[in-house]
Amino acid sequence: MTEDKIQIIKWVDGLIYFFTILFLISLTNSIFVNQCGYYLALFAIIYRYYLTREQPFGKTGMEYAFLFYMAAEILSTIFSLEPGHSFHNLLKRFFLIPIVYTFIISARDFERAKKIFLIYIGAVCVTIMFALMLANPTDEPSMLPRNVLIGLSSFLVAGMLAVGLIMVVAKTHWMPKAVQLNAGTVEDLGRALLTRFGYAFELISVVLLLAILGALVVARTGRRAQS
Amino acid sequence: MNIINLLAHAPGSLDAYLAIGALLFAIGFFGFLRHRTLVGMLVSGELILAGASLNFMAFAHFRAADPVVGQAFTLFIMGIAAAEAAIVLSIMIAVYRNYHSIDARDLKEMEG
Repeated sequence: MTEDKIQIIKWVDGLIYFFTILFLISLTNSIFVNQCGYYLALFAIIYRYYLTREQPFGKTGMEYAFLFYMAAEILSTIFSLEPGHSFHNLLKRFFLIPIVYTFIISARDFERAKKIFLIYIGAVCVTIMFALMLANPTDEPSMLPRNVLIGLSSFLVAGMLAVGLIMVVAKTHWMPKAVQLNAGTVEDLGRALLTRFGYAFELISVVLLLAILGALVVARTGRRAQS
Repeated sequence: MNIINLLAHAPGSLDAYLAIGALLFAIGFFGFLRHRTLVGMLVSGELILAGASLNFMAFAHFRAADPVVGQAFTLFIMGIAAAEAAIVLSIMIAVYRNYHSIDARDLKEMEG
């Protein structure tokens, strides 16, 4: 490889880094600059490959995840209710998958990776803020009615809770049985309530009284205004 | 299988009561998530409290030296639950007066 070529490759590397940073910085404010940054970075990567013919990526297994993702996307596009719209979005996502590879190439040394990471976090925070500010929540119709979804999910959660608790009960060895002082009859209970627990018993009555008074106050407020 | 063994072979043991308490708690939890109305949520809350009370009773009866403590504690839980029910019912009346509904999802103004 000649001196000139090495110089050009270094220059292209810088270009890729610059466009990636441009892409990140304009993530929240300009779609045009954003797209320019992304696609120019992609072109620069392709040019770099043309110059060096080196494949910087090893096999990681991520490719299969992407392939599955794309297969799912294509299937959902084929069976979609609005093919035109769906195809448009499919193309968009298709072009966005190389984003991972762009980042990997442009963040080759540690300093660059650090900077890209910092800018990326900043951009994500700003995006989330914008999304929250501009969000216009509308109830989109879903395939399953909301009631069924809530019922199913709550049944699942409650079922898991029950099974988990019962398994804990079945597996735990509780403390040994103590020698009982009394049989726990109604007589024992009455005696305990009026002697040992007398104070708590009276306090409960005060709590009940306060609750009744509070309930009356809350329920009465606004009654006159209505009539 | 564990659960069936637990309930079938030990009808008078601590574990059976604890399992029933856990079931009561889970049913109450399910109802709490599932019900849209405040009344349904209140009833489910009572079920959850019943599950907890059953645990107190079971532990006191089978393990503690003085079974009366668990029973007294359960009575106090019932008292607190009664107070809670009174407050919740009055809140329901106030909510109905303002929103003309006791559906918990209609109370949008209380969302954060």
